[in-house]
Amino acid sequence: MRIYVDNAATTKISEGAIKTMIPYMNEIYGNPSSLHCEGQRANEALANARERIARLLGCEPREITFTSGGSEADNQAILSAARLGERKGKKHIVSTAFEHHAVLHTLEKLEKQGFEVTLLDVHENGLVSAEQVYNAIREDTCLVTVMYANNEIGTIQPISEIGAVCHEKGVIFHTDAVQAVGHLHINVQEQHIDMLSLSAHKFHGPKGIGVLYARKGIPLTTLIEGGAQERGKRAGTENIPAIMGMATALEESCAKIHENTLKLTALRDKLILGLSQIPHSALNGDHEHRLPSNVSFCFEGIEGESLLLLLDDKGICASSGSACTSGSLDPSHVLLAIGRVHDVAHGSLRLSLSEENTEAELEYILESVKEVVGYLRSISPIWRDLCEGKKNFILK
Amino acid sequence: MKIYLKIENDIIIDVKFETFGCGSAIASSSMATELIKGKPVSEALALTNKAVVEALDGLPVHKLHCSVLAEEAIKAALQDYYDRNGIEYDHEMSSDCLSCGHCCSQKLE
Repeated sequence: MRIYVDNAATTKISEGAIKTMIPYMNEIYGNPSSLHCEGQRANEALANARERIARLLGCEPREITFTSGGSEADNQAILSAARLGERKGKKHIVSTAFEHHAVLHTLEKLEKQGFEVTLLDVHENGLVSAEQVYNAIREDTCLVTVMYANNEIGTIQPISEIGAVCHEKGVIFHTDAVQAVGHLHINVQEQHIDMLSLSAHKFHGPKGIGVLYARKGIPLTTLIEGGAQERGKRAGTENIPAIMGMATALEESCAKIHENTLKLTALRDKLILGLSQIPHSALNGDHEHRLPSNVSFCFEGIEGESLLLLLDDKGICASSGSACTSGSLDPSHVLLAIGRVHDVAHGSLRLSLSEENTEAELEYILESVKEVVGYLRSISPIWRDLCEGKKNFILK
Repeated sequence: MKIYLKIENDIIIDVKFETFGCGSAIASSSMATELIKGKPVSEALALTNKAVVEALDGLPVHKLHCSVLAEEAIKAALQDYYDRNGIEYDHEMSSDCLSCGHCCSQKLE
């Protein structure tokens, strides 16, 4: 038996999306830029997908640019706003300390080019406030970029309020909504979002495809030079099968947001309650403002990678923000940003649910995590030190 | 990483470990204990991290330091044994395993 609870990493493609994709590989396989009928049929499909996705986000089709995924969309959004700002002498960007690396590394690159970046502190509940954003915006701020929902701890940021603040101050607002799209209700108009990144494989669509929404009037900087695809803003023959699969998956997900939220929240809270019973453990991030699918815990005295390997042995696919899983010496910047000390952050576990998970699976997960945490603590010298009073417990 | 040794007549008759760390760290310490169990102290002292890696059928490059920890923990435990029993030894042979702060040595008895 295998239990997949790593849906924040990626999801299974829905049957509906697969069925939509297949004809675009073996029947309507023309290049949308070709003049013949086969090409034009593909071009119609492309326009159709763009319209459907635009409708679901509450924007116009021409405001949609297809990219290779969330990372490319984040890169292009930030670099575009930076170039626009630069021309007006505005070289200050506001973001947060717990963004995805697609955002943070792009900002680091801009810092080397003379931009100044303010990374807002994240409160220990995993939230930033619109007031923090308001106070950080300066005369020369050209962009605010704040993620919609955090990929590790699942906390949902007050995006509408942040958007309103940015518009009041006349600053472009971008949100990395990779973890939110298809799972939370989004409308870029109502929420004052100027740019938004999304990735299909986080909502049961295919990998390697995403969208950058950019409000009309914001000129995009091209990252990939070549042909005139995507109005010249993103060269390369369009991945029609993936784009069609993404449109279907997004429609399916958005239609089920209410139903899935109810189901997943119940499952999530059951997991949180069960895991809280493990002594010296803690939920990472706010419970209320949280993705219905996300459970993130720290367990004191153990290390996350060994936890994952033993859970994998038991058939459970999970994730961790431990340093040992990342190849670096530091644990997750997200856990450090919410104030978890190194020793505690090393012992993290992320379980991200999908609507396919069952109560029975949850029972098994709870039982397995308790067993594995207990075993790893029994062989952990740090746990022994904590129990013998040589070190103080940090988590209750 | 902690290593516990039970030594009789200069033979390691039992050895145990405790490890806080990733899969490679736990595997390295476990394999290191397997490699020295039943061996004379002098042979255990000659254990290298390379031998641990080979016995494990290799480790990813960024996990090689885990095998070094295992070698150093064994050496630290043996040094502790010598110290407690007033046996003279070459201080050069012991690794200075102070880098991670998670390492110390204790005897089983």
